[in-house]
This record gives sequence, structure tokens and C-alpha cells, in this order.
Amino acid sequence: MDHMLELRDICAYYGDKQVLFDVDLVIGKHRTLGLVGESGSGRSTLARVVTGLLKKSTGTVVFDGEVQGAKRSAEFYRRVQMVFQNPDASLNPKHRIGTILTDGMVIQGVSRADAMVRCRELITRMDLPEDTLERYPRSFSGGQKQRIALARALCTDPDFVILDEPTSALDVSVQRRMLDLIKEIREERGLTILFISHDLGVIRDICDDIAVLRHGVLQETGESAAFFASPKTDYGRELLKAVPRIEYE
Amino acid sequence: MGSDLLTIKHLNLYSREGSHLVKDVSLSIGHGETLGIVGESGSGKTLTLKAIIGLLPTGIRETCEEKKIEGKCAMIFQSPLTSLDPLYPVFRQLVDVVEYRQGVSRPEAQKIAEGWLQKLSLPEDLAEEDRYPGELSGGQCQRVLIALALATKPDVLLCDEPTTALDVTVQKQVIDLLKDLQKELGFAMIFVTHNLAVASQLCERLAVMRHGEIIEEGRKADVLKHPAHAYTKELVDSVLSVPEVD
Amino acid sequence: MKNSDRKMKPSLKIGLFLMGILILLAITAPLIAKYDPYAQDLPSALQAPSAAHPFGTDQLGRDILSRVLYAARVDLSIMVLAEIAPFVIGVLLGMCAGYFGGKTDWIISLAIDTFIAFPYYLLVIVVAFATGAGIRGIFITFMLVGWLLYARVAKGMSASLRTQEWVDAARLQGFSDLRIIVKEILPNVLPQAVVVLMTDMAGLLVMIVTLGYLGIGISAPTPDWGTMIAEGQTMMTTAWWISVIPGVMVVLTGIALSFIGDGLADLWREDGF
Repeated sequence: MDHMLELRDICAYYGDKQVLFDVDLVIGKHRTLGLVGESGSGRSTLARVVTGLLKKSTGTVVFDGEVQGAKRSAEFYRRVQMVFQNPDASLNPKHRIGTILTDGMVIQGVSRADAMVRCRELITRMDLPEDTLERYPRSFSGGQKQRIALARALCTDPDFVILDEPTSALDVSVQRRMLDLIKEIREERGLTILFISHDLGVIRDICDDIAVLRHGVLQETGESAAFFASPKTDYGRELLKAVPRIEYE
Repeated sequence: MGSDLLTIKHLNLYSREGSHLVKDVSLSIGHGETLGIVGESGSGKTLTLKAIIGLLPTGIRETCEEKKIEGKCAMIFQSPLTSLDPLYPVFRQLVDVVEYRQGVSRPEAQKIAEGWLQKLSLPEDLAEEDRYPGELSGGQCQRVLIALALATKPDVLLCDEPTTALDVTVQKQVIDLLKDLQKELGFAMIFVTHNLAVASQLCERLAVMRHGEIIEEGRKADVLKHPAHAYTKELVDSVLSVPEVD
Repeated sequence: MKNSDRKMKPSLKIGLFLMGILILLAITAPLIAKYDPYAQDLPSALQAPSAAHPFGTDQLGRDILSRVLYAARVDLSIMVLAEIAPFVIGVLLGMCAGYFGGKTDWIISLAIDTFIAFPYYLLVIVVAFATGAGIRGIFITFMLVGWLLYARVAKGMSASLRTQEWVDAARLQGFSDLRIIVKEILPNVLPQAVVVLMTDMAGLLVMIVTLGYLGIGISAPTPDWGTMIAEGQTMMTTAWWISVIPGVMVVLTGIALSFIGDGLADLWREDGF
């Protein structure tokens, strides 16, 4: 199988504190890998290593067959995008949505007018109001902001998208719609996704593969279905057991 | 049911700008009962809880036909770290609350507080070597808060999303703990959460809130299996299930 | 929601109105003033306010109204001009320190801490003596210490903004650090910096006036509120208008600036700042 992303011996540090320990991970093309872990497990740190946002790390990041250096190329940033957890913090409050969405494309050499046309298509696709591009972030709900963030990530027509808890701050009914939207877009564009979440229900709903992280150490990886049938490790089992289930009686 | 501990009839809350935040909410709860209030953000569930205990934010106008609370209430909050005084070691906070609320001597309060540490599976060396909230984990802080609330010997424990900020494994421990303590101490509980699954594990009765109104209330089994309201059904369907493990 | 949709606070309206009048008076001084502010007229010295001299005359017979208006031109323009460079430099350095952190932060913070340790007025007096009394001293001194405040505000804000997810998102769009600082961070820092600017301008005006009063600022015979207050102080009981009128102007400017600062802060706070 062709790999979109391959991580070898990834270690990462915050100051002197090591937060990731020799993580090895592969994501196949057009697969969605769910990265699960509790707080302090290092799951968001791993995303920052992949995108090159965290400089203090060692190990090898291979993207689509190419080993990545410390500085990522412009092409890398076109092909790799990310959606963050906190809808209130992921859009610059001082810019109109139109600016937020088109700036990335303009820097890639698309003309402002073409960029606007593509934005309008995306806005319609995301079921956002028509006047979205003229408005500021504060006038949108959490769910809408996350859809805008997803639209921004899709603007540059990426192959690989990292979603860091994109639905955790949303209400359950809104979460459901967001997940469905992500699934549809994934099919339409043939995306490869690294989906970070603490919620096993969400992971099961959307992921093909799963990786479990704890205190910076990778516990187990494998196909999602196999994990939910029978986790390989005690910690995986403990996590799965802890998920609150509806008790009808 | 026999004597109600807490009865609220036609509670209405308005914001300063006049918007109707909580509409005609009526609730009652008897000894040892558990009621779950489930709703999404902006449904007014937390405000209802704050109105019961009298902690409404300034500027909120309240009208209520009847508000009868027999016995003591205590409350635990969503964010364990910001609910504890960061400059005050946790065990001392606990001893102070016991001493003040139960009117016992200091050594006696010390002993009772040690009992609570044990009951809540908190590290017992806290009694010898006290620590600040910042030195404890989120789950431990939430246990300390539960101890602080229960040390006042409440008849009703009001819980505002106490497990939302916790990791799932810790959440499970706290839920199990609350269940055990309730069985042992017999307090009644109103549990506010957005998580239907969590509510279903802790409560016998469920009330579903939306846009400030209770749209459905009843026994857990009825509400979950035969939801009368489309929104309740949507909530039940939104829970992403995971298979059981042996 | 657009800016115009939000209601302006009364304090902002009053402040802008007052400041507008003061600036208008300064600009149109040659048209309003009936007398040459430098023209001495000893026979009509120390006249109380009258129809010919609405604010009276000083000991040399100069018309106080004319002098106060011309002083507004001098004092207000120095106040604004002397703030420009410190504002720009302070905000830029502060943003760099906050955004880059590490060594950049260490160097800029060291500079801030060093300059902050100087007693403000002592430094002013030393520079004034070194360069000779006058406007130049004020500019040089303020260049040295004026940027500190903005640097500290901008540094604190940028350091907390840096960790926001939208800054990471901007990096992932492939934006350069310079572009992120100018296009992403600056619009968020600017409102707060402008609020500080208003307060600081009032402080600078008081400094200009104080230096004039002490005789090491703007030197006679150039009209300046500070020197005017100093000239009249020995005659407070007999010819109060010489000192009181320029004093009132200083107070009015100060009030106008703080009202604008407060009003802007309120307006932008509703914005989420």
C-alpha cells in the first residue's frame, strides 16, 4: 500500500520535557487514521511535528515519499492543511471571512478574483450563509466557525488534512452534521485524513485505522474495526470500557 | 412520591436585554432521587441550576411561582481547577469546610476530612503533606470538590457538568464514585450535562431542555426508548455508540 | 456586524468633540487671534478680561487669548509628533519580542528593563541640559523612553496571540513571519496600543508643560502653556488669568484624551478585546 505519511522515531520536546517517545506511524493514501489519547498523551504535539509547527523534535517525517526537512516547502503547505479544535480561536477576529479564506490561495499564486469564486463554491458546499465572506468571525456559531475552518483548509486543494478535535467543542447534534460533512468531502476529494480525538465514538464513526497514544508513547495501531472488536493492549481495553454508553434501564 | 425535597414551579429567567432565557421550568425531586437535565449549549440548563442554588449572574431577572427547598444544597462545577482556591492547600480547604459547616472541633474536623480522602480514593498522604490544587490532576481536583460539597452533608447535590472536562477513564471513575456515594449517603442529585450517555448512567429521571424550556421529562427508560419529542430522538440518535468489551 | 452598527459611548463622543474643538482652535489660531502673540504692548499690561482682550493680557501686555491659541499649535503638534516614532518603534519591537520569543524577546526585554530603570524626569532634565532647552530635548528624551510602554503592551498581547490557533493556521497557509506579524497580529494589537497612545499623549503634554514651567522646555518668547503658567504664578492673586487660562487648556486636553481612550477601550472591549 502507498503511504501518504510515514513517521519514524519521532521524539518531541517542550523545553526540556520530552512529550513524544519514538513514535512510528504510517497513514495509507485515502485512509483516515484516528489518533486517540487522553490529555497529555501528545496527540496534538504529533500534529505540530507533522506540520513543522513544532521545531524541537527529532525523527523523520516522510510525506508522499519525500523526507521533510526542518523547513517545509510551499508545496507542502498547499498539500497539507489542518483544522483546529477551538472554533473561537481558529479564525482571526479582525479579518472578514473572505480575507481569511482567500489569503492562502493568493499566496499560492491564485488571483484574488479566482480565489473569491472558489470560496463562494466552498461556502455553498458547506451550507454556510451567502453573505459569509463579508462577515467577521464573531457573528457565527461554533458549528459554523468549524465549517469555515474546514473551508479554509480545503481552499488550497490539499491531499492530506489533519483534523485536531474538530467536533469536540460542538453540541452533539451539530457534531453529527460536521462528521457527515467531513465524510462527504473526503469521498469527493479523495482526502487522506489524520483525525485526532479523545472520543472513541467519533473515531469509530469516521476512521479506517486507529492509533492509541498514551503519555507520548504509541500503544497500539491497527484497523479501526479490529480495535473495536478487541483491543490489543490493556490500555486500549480500558479506554474502550470507559466510554459512557446509554443505559436504558 | 412522598415529601418533595425541592420544588420549583414556573421558573422564568430573563437577561438584562429582556430575552427569555429560561421559560416556565418546573422541577421537583424527592429524597434520594436523581434527575438528569440534558441539553445543548444555550438550553438554559446551567442557569436553571444556578437559579436553584441562588448563584445567578448579575443582571439576570428571575420570577418564580414557587420555590421550595427543604434541606441543604451543595453544588459541584464543570471546571475543577478554577473552582478551587489556587493559593490554599486542598486538605486545609476540606478541613475548614468540615469545621465550619459541621460545627466540630479542629481535630475532629481533621479526622472527618481524612475519612473523606479515603472515601473518594484521594491520596491519603494529603493529610500529612498537603498540596495545592495546581499540584493535583484534574480528576483529583474534581474529587476534592465532590468531598467539599458532600462535607456540608447536603440533601441535594447539584452537579453542573462535573465530568465534562475530564478524560474518559477519569470520567468513568468519577461517575462510579458518585453512584457509590449516593447509594451510601442517600442524597438526592440533579445532574446537568450535555452528554445523554452520562446522564443515563447516573439518573432515574431525565428532563430534556432546549431553548430554555423543558420539552420532555420522565423516567429514563421511557424518555430514551420512546422519546415523545423529535429533538429528544435526535439527541438519542446523536450518541455515537461503541461496542461493549468483555 | 459592522463598526457603525455599534453604539458609540458618550465618553467617546464627548472626548472626540472636545479634542476636535481644541485642534480646530489650534489650526485656525491665525484667523481667530486678533493680536500678534509676540507683540508687546506695555501700556495695556495686566488688563483683566474685557471685550478687547477676552482673556486679559500679561505683564508685557500680550493678549492671553492669542497666546493660548498659538500655544495650542505648539504644544499639541509637539505632543502628536513626539509620539509618532515611539509608537511605531514600540509596537513593532514589542510584537517581535512577543511573537518570536526566545533570544529576540530576551534582547528587547533587556532594553526595556534598562530604560525603565532610568528616572523619567531626571533623564528629561539631563537631556534638556545636554542639548539645550527647547523642543529638541523633548523629542530626544521621548524617543529614548516613550517606546517602552507600547513595547510592553504589544509584547504581552503578541505573546498570548502567538499561541492562538489562527496564528498556527496562518503558518500552515505558508505565510512568512513578517506577514503574520503585520497582517495577522498587528490588527489585534493596534486597538489596545491606540488606547495606550491616548493616555500617554496626555502624559506627554503634562511633561511638555512641566518642562516649560521649569524653564527647560520650550523657551520664551514662543507661546507655550507651561511657560505661560510659570510667568503668571507670582501674580496669581492679582492677575489670575495669566496662569489659569493656559492651565484650563491643559486640563481640557487631558480630559479629552482620556475620554477618547476610555471610549475606544469600551468600544473595542465589546468587540472581544
